[in-house]
Amino acid sequence: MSGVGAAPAVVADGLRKVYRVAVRKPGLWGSVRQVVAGETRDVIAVDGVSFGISQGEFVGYIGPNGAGKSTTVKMLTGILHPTSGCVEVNGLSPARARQRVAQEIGVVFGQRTQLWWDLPTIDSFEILAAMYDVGPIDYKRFMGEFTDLLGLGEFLDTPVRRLSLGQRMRADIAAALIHSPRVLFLDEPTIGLDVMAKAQVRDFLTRVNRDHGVTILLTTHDMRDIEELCERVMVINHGKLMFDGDLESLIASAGLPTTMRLRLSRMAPGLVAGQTLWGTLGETSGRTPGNALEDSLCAITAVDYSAKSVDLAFDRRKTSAAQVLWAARELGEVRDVTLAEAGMEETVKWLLVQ
Amino acid sequence: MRVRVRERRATSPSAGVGASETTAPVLTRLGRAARVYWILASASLRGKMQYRLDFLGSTLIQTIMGADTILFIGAVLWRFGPVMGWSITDIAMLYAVSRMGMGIYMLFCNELDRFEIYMVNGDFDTLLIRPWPTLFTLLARGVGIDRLAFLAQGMAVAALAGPRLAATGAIRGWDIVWLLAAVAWSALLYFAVGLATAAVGFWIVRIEELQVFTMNAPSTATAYPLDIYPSWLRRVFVTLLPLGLGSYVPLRFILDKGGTALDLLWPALACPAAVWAALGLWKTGEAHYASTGT
Repeated sequence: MSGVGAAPAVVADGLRKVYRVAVRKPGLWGSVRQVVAGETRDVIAVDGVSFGISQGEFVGYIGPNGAGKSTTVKMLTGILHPTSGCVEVNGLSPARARQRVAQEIGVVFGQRTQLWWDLPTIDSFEILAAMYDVGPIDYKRFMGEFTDLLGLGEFLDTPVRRLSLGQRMRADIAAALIHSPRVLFLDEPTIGLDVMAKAQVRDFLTRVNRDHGVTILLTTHDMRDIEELCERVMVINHGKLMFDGDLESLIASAGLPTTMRLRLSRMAPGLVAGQTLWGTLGETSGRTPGNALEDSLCAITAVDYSAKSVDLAFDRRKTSAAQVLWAARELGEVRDVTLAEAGMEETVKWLLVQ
Repeated sequence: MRVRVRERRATSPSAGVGASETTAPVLTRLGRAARVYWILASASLRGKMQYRLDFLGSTLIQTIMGADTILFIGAVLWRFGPVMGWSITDIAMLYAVSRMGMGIYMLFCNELDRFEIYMVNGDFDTLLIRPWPTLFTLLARGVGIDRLAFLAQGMAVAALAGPRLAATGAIRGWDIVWLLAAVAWSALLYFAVGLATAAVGFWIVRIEELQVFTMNAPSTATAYPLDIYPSWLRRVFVTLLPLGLGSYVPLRFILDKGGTALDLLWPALACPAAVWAALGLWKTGEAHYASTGT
C-alpha cells in the first residue's frame, strides 16, 4: 500500500439519492389509474452518507440487497447524479467533470460486462486502449503483466459471449485497469464465481492494491472477500452508514461469543442447550447465549447425544479457552476440542439486526 | 481486423498499472475523436457480421419493404395522374430526398432508434464510465450498415427522377445544390427529432410508442407532398413534428409548386436550432438517468 495520508482519493459528504417511482396498484384498473393519476412516491436509496477514502486504501462496502451500495458506487462513478450532497474523486466531481473522472477511475460491475459481447476478448482491450489513449508501449506492458497474472492468454481470441463467468470477470477486471486508473470501483466482482476463481480474483486485487497503490472500493456479499482483502469496512443499511472502521473494531464492537465444540467419549446425562457453566453446571437460563454469558463462564448452545458433541459459547474478553475447558470436565470425558471465532458473516448479521 | 494502437512517446513512469502519462497528443481532440469513432464503428460492424444470416436477412427485408412501397405508390400515381399539381416524378424526387435524409440518419444514428434497450437494461451505465460524451459513444457503437437500404432506395429513386426533371427544365443549375442541401436538412431533422425522442427516455424509459408518433408515422407521411393533408396537419408536420420542414418545404419551391425563396432559408435556420435544442434536452436528461437495480 502506498500514499496513505495524501489527499483523499474519494470523498462523499452528506450523499443522498432519492428515486421518484410510480405507485403501482394491482390489476389492470390499477395500472390505468396509475397512468392517469400519475401518483408517485419518493424512495430514499442513499441517505446522508459521508466518508473519505485515502489514496491506496482497500475498503469494503457491504450491506444487504437494496441497502444502497450500488447506488453509492454509481454516484461515485458519475453514472447517477446525487439528489444532494457532494462527491469528489481525486478532487473532481463525477457529476460535473464526468469525462475527466472516467479517465482516472476503473469500474467493474460483476453483473454487467463492459466488454464487446460478440468480439474476441482481445478486441475489447484494444478498443479500450484507443478510447483511453493508451500508447503502444504501455499497452504491451499491460498485456504482458496482466495476461500472466489473470491467466488471460487461454481465452484472448475467444468471443466474450463464449467465456465462462470466471474468465469474463477476469477479463472485465483487466479491462478496467488498462488505462492505469488511480481508483478502482468493484461492484460485486466475485458474484457467482467458484472457489478457485474467487481466490484468483482476490490474489490479483491484493497485488493491484499493494504493488500499484491503486485505491479500491469493493462491494460484495461474500464476507471472505472482506476478510481477505480489506483493512477497512463500511456497512450500509437502509441507505445509512452504520459502521466505518477496521475489521478488528467491527468484530470487537459486536463482542460475539467464541464457540468451543467438544467431542466427548462419555457424556453426562441431562445436558440441554441454554444451560450455563460457572465452575459448576447451572440451570437453564432461558436466555440467549450472548446474554447468558453475562453472569456465567460459558453457555451450552447445542447438545447432540448421538454424535456425542456439545457446543459451548464464551466471551473471550471475560474468560479464556483453558478456563472453559477446565469447567467442561463436568460435561463428560473430553476427547477432542475445536474453537471457532465469530466471523464477519455473523458480525455483520448481528450489526444489521441491531 | 485488429485495432492498431497509435505510437506515442512516454514521458514519465507509470503511477498506476499498465499505461503511463504521455506527451501531448499529436492529433487534436477532433482527430482522436475521428479515430475512436472509426474503431468503435468498425467493432460494431464486426459484431454484426458475427451473425451473418441475420445481417443479410434484415438488409434484404428492408430493401424489399422499401421497394414494394415505391412500386405501390408508383402504380397508383401512374393510374390516376398528378396529385395536387405534383407529377409522379416530382413526388419521386420528394420521396428520394426524404428517404436519403432518413437513410443517413439510420446509418449514423441507428442506436437512437433502439435507445429504449439502453434505458430498460441499464446499458447506458457503460457509456457513462467512458471518457467521451455519451452521445458520441452511443452513435459510434451502432453504425446501421444493415439499414443502408433506405439510403440506397433514396439514391436509386433520385437517379430515376433527376434526369427526367432536368429534361423538363423543372430542375436546373443551382437547384442541384438546393436538393443536396434539402437532403442534409432532412437528415439533421431526423437526427434532432430522433435525439429528442430518445432523450425523453431518460424520464419515461419506454419510448417505442413515442418513436412511432414522432418518427415513424411522420416519416412516412412527409415522404409525400403535404398538400394532400388538411392545412392544420400540414402545419404540424413543419412545426411540432417537423420532418416535413427539411424535404417538403424546400422542394415545394425548387419544383415550382408554390412558396417563396425563403423556403430555402427556413430549414437552414430551423434544422441547426432543432439539433441544438435536442442536444440540450439530451444533456438535461442525462442528469436524470436513473439506471437500473442490480
